[in-house]
Amino acid sequence: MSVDTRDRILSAALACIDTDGLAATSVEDIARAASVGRATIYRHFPGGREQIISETITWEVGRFFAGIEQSIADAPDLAAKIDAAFVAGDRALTEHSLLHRLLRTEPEAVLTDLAVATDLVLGLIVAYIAEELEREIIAGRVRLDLDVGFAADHLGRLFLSYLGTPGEWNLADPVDRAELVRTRFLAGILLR
Amino acid sequence: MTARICDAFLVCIERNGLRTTSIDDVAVEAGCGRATIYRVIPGGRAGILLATVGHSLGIVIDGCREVVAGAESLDEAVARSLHVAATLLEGSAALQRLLAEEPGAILPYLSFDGLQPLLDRVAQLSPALFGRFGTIEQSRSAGDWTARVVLAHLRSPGGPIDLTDIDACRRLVDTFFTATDQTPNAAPSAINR
Repeated sequence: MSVDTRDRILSAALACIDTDGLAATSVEDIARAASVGRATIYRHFPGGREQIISETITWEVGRFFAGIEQSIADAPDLAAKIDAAFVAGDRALTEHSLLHRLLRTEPEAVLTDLAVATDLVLGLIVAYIAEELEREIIAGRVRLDLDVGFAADHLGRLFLSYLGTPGEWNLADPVDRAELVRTRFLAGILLR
Repeated sequence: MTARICDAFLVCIERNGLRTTSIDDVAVEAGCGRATIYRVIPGGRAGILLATVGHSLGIVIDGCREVVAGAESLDEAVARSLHVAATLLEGSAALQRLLAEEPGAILPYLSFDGLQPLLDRVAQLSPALFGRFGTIEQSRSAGDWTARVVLAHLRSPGGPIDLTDIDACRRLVDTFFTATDQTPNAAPSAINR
């Protein structure tokens, strides 16, 4: 079974969820939208509907954060990367109409699947930040005595917290964003 | 009466889970009638769940108030608050059962815009906790930071930082919170160049 087929099924599942919602999307709907048979679906997703829905959410969350990662690739240092990640993430969240609709109509279902996906993504974000911190230490911008694993874990969690619920911070405002990054993310780790 | 109903609700969730907990179960546990529950907390099970989220926050804030009383600095107060809040939440069998078995019931109150009312409530209560160490704005900022850190760990447990270890809390505060307050001008970054 090719990766293409798997992606086609996940893409079709996402389209079905967009049209019908989580609860009303069936394996038959997804098979029809992906132009594959039910047997193909079950070969790829032996857990059936529940597995497809869960993996579709994880797949979409992965695409969401891959988009953020792409948009920060050229940022020159950690501060610029966090800033750019907030810009890209805030924009993508704002424009994600499906997420907003599901949060209104089926919050319990979507948040349950999102929690699983977010745990996976947190691990990736923490690993990414840890690599950046190592680079920053070599570049002489971050404290040599920093416990990278400890700091990366904290910064990864805070990034998701402020991205999902910015509170008083306006992530679309460059001044506000710079202040958030400076005071909540960098103040404790930059060379003083 | 609200507290009694919420406590009874938590006992029922701990024992049976949320899905199988009925208003009758809560009434029996609380030692009151169904009518009393509907009168005191309108909205059925959803209303009781919302009230219980607020009630649980109150328990956490009370726990923080106790340990903050003996603190001599804002840093120590924040570290102790992190520790006691994380310990209380980890020790709440009802909350842990919900997160493990029926996360969809509680996550709407801890995610995206749904978290904001809880953060707003924390902001209201923070001056009473941290106000003697600085301005109202600083105490709100401390409360917001504490709540975000605790909730981030509640939602995704694990990792190298154990908030039920007071030394880990002090280290986290020392690295990230103290610096936040005391570093008005961080090193220049590419975003400011």
